[in-house]
Amino acid sequence: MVKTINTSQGYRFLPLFIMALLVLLLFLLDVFIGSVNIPFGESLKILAGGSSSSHEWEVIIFSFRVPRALTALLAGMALSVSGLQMQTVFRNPLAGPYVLGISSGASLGVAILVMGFSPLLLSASASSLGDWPLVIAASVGSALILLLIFAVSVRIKDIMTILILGILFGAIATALVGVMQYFSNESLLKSFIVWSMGSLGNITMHQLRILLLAILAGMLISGASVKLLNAFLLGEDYASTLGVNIKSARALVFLSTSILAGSVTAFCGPIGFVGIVVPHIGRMLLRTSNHAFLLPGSILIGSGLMLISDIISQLPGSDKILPINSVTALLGIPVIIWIILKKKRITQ
Amino acid sequence: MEKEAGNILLKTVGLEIGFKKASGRKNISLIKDISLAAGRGKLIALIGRNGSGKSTLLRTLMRLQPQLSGTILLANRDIENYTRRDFAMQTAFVSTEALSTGNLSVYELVSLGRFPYTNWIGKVRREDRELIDSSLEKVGLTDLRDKMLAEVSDGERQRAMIARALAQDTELLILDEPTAFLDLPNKYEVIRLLKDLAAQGKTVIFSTHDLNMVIDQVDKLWLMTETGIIDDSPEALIENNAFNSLFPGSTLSFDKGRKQFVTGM
Repeated sequence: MVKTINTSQGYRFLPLFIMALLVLLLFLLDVFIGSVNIPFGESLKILAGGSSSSHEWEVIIFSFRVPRALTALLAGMALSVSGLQMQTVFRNPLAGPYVLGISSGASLGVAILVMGFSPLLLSASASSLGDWPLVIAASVGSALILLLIFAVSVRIKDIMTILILGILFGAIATALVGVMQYFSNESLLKSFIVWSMGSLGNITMHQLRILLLAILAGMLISGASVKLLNAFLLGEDYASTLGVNIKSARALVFLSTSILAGSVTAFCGPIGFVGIVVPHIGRMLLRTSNHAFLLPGSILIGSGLMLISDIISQLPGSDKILPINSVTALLGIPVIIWIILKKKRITQ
Repeated sequence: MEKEAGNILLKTVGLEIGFKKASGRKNISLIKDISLAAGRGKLIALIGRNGSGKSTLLRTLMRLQPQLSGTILLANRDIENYTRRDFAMQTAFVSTEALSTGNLSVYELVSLGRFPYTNWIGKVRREDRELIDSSLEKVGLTDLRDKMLAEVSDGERQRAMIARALAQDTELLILDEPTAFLDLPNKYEVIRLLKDLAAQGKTVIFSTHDLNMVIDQVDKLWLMTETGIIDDSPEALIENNAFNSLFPGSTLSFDKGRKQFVTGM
């Protein structure tokens, strides 16, 4: 369906173009805004590679703000594409990147690390745990849940059963996390809770490179699934009579979803609502469910929404930072409520 | 049975349909020993009571669920020996399932019929476009091609689904109750369309409850009775009083002269 010369599709390129411009603007805004006040012109000069009057400002821009804004950009697009894919495959408007239990699995991994293993280490080292063990624990946790879902999805035909099992696996993981929280000490509990609130700022340039690679890989698979996802719009029976191998197509979509949502969760913590809300905004603005447009649309809207959330979380004008998860919830939940109230108009 | 053996497109041999259970448990068999044949360019209606297994039969023919035993031959080849893509180039399906998406244009929906033919990203080329356009024209939706599915009527949506199946460019078209949920003019419209398609060479098999409406239109009827499926022309079925076995135990009987069911014995 790509590149069809057709009046109903031509006008969808313009919104995509405008969205791309907006994302660029929001990215710059996100870099300009922060607890330290750097003049607009200086920021631009530093970004463009020129030297600034203050070395400190250069460090702030390149070591903190740019990685942070890039993380927001990547996390937003990854979560949104995951959500879009889950909504299409499960044919459920309230599905999101985490319906397969990916975030619960990641939480379990982190909880085991922070609260299960740390007491064995010297108490001092508990707080000085680097970011790496955390990232690995989260990845292993979400990969475990994902393997379970994969094993189930090859055996079970009914997609709703898979959805319910995903929720149940997630619930088991959450329950185990609860048990560990109950038995852990206060400082460990705090580091776990800080992780679970989500953060875009704790990521180094080196980690960012890895996140970028993971998201590129996930996006490549998603891009290659556009045709399959469009067939899924008609339901699995129709997709099957069009020649789609349902089980392997599902596996492909689950794979990219877990790479995208899993890597973001590992580095930034579980970030809610973006993945559920963005595909709906995309369908509304682009007036289509055709993934050839909706996928790039979700990438752009997701990046934009995450940048806005990041800007708000930094409370411009103050030196306090809100947890990103609260901001996405406060922005996202009203949209979901609005979707539910307007249910007549939402279709996949 | 069909006389012109060389011109048979679809044939079942000793087919048993039903539901496969997980290993260890007994399968649920609905109908055994089904022998049916569909000639090329024929219009065939599948008639039977609710729950008699019409959908199960059609879904089995479409490889959407496995048969319990027996063979289905499409162009003299076991359907299990077709690749998914080859099978999709030979058979198209319109089911009773309502579309959950209203957010595609009629044109986009119909172009999904080109799925087996397009490249990995689904790019629609010129020959694909010509088939999409002609499919839209056949069902009379050319003017509505840019309308969203949520904005068209039920009858138009059904015709769009048929156009999608036509764009698949298959020899066999199977439809599960294409006239259900439609008002009278739309029912006639769909049946007339199916008859036209058969006249153009496509083999069309559809299930329906509107026996009165289709009995003069179809080449053959597949009649699901309690003892099995009878495969014959409408005239022969009327002659043999076969319709009276359709609703055993009810007060309905078939009036040969009026070609419809009447109440009272």
